[in-house]
Amino acid sequence: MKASRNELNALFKQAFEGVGFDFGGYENAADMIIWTQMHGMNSFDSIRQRMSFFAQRKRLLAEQLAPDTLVLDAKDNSVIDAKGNSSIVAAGMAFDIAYVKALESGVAQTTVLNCHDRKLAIKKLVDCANRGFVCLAYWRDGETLHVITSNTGVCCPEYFQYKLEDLDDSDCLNEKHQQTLFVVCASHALGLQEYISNNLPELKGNQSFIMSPTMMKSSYMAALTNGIEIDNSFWKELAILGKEVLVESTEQSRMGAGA
Amino acid sequence: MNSAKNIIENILPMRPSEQVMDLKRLGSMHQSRLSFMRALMRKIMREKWSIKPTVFKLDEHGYGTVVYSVQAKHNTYSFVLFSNYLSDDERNDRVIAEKWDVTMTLCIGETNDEQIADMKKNVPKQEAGRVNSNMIVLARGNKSSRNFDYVVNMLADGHQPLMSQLADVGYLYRTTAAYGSGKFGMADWAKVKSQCPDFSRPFSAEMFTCYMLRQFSIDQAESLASIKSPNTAVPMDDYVKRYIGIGNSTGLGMAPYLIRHPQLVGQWMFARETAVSRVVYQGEVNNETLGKLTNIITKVLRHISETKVPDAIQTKRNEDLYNELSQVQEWLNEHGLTCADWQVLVRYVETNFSMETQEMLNSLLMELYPELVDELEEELCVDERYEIQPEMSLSELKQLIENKYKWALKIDFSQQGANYFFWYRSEEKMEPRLGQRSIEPGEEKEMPLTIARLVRQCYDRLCADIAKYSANDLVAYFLIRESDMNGIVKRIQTMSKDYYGEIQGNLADENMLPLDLLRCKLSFFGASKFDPKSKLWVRNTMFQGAPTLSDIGKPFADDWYFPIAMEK
Repeated sequence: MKASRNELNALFKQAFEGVGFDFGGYENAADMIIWTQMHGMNSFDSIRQRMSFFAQRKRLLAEQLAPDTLVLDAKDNSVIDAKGNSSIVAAGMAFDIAYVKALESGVAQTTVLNCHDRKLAIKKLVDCANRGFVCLAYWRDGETLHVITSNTGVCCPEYFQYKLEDLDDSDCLNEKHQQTLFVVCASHALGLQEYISNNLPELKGNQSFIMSPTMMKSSYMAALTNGIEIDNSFWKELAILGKEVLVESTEQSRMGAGA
Repeated sequence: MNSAKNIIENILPMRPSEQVMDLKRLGSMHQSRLSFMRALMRKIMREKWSIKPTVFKLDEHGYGTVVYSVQAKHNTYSFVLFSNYLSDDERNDRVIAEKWDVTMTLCIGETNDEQIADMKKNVPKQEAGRVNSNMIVLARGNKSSRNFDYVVNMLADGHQPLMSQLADVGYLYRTTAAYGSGKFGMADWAKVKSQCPDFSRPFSAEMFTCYMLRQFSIDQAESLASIKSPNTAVPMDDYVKRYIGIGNSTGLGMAPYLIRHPQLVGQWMFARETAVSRVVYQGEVNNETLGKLTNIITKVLRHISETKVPDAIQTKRNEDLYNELSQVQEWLNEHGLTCADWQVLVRYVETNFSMETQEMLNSLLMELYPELVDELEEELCVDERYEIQPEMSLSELKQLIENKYKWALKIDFSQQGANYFFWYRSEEKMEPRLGQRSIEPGEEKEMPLTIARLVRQCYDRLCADIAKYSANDLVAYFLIRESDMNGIVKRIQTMSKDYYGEIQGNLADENMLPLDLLRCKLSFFGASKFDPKSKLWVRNTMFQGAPTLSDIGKPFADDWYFPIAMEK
């Protein structure tokens, strides 16, 4: 079925509120998921796989990160432990920390450990770039390196995939970091280029997939014009989760109704 | 910050937000030149939209399908309406109703038979149906049976309906909902704004749909009169047509919208307050403007005297407004020519009269200076964006709350009555409702609409955090420690840049009147003749006095507001 952005936003917000996300948290979640889907990066499939996980933990605040989340807080390098949670919870914090450090040092990195749904970090990267910084996010998935970059003033970022070869144990992309998300903020493009030269030699290799800003913009415009495709049964799953926020109707409650 | 804001900030004094955004004052507002209906009518008349029925298939009972083709400046649209039988006991204006006299949609482009057949399957179902991204508005309405039958019978017998009857109920149909912004699969607001420039102002498509229902109600009444008595029936006179508006029932659903869109509300208020400021400080007082204001007040006094509502409180408010406006007129006759500017009058009214009269005067002063006001209708849109500023220090955030949310910190939530109500969504069509906390279940599912209390919670947590860590620490770290504060911190930081936007009241208070919220939004729409049916919903009249389709292309004075019943 086709749905509009507005009604999907309401649907996701209510579903995430239903599973215990806070005010602010469920808005972020809906925003990140829908932005990514509209820009052609298919967030619905990955988040759908995670919905059963969210649903089982409803009202346990499992997705709320505890104060010990920030495990390292150095001058231009921080580490957050997402504790197996989704990037819809951790990515905003990661970019915010990288941003405030980059304001001081020019370039800063946040490493998010044990993080899922890393692709969804793209929306937070775009938000951070709107503050006038150049941003980067990357992660490893099997033998593939995923990279998203955004320049200031560009409506959409660029998304690349690279085939990883010959990694050694000292590399930040080694097996230990299979669930790690790296985010980087820089006050200037040169700073980011220098970071890439020092930390990501893989980016000189062959790209196996590219999604350009133009492709993303075009995908967004098509979704806006024609509606956003969503599987009917996924819609129903979300609606069921959202029912948790609804209050049973009674004679008394009808007296508090509008008309 | 838009250009208007820059200009005004540097030149003209604006009323402070604690005055303008006070909930009681918002509940005293009236329509003005900047109201959406007024701006829409100016646009239609200026651009000479061509609107014609292309399908008018109604049976002898008035049931069937009607399509009006709308040629606006940029695009063609179709207004498609389905009229169906509805028994009197099924007629219900509440959101939980499932059947209506008429259901309708406004869609982009011309429509063909196949599309109309598809619409017929879904549009009458309203919330239970699915429509597509070519549609902009989905709406429904119910007949005012008594009035409708009276008008049809009069026309069928060869007479015009009596204006005194129409003064009591000035419409033949009431809209009970007009959905837009992507509901049920329709076009998103972002699409309407970018691809349908004819409706790129807030709620203009929804207002237009109501306007078209008004037109249909007139056309249907004439059609039925003619079918009923072909030999004696007469068409409705133009002055009668213009006096027929469209009724509206508005309930609590409108209230959460105002709370959830403070940037948009702030933009509307800023445009309105800019207009008030311009006319008060820049409008010249002379014989002409004094005479014009006196004439307008005379008309408004008659409009008020013709407004009859059953609600005792509203009746008293109308009587007070009438008496106070009469005194304003006397004052003008006595002192008007000695006024150097309108500030003197405004101060006199603020000192002596009710908020209802103060806000009415502001609306009326705007009528004197279209050249100072009308361009502000272009300032009613805003791309809402609520953002965290993680680099802000905790001391700065604390100070910001103390300065900008002083009104919220003043509320003592430990007092009895301060937490009396809670807002929630019912399982019945997700209808927003207001519950009494002490006796109704569902408190744990409260909607985050009591902004004052959320601000207080945030402030207390912030102070505790500063005591434990440091006032120089940054918001980015506070939100890791207190991640459930993300939503309210984002709102506080964003709204601190706006003059207006936050409604300054405790929405959980025992004495809070939801009607005040509804009245505020309805005044921006341009509605009049407020007729409260309880503290939670209000009937009102839209487009009464507005030009009809046959007036498009003729001279237009834009003076149709606060209409009066004129016998031929």
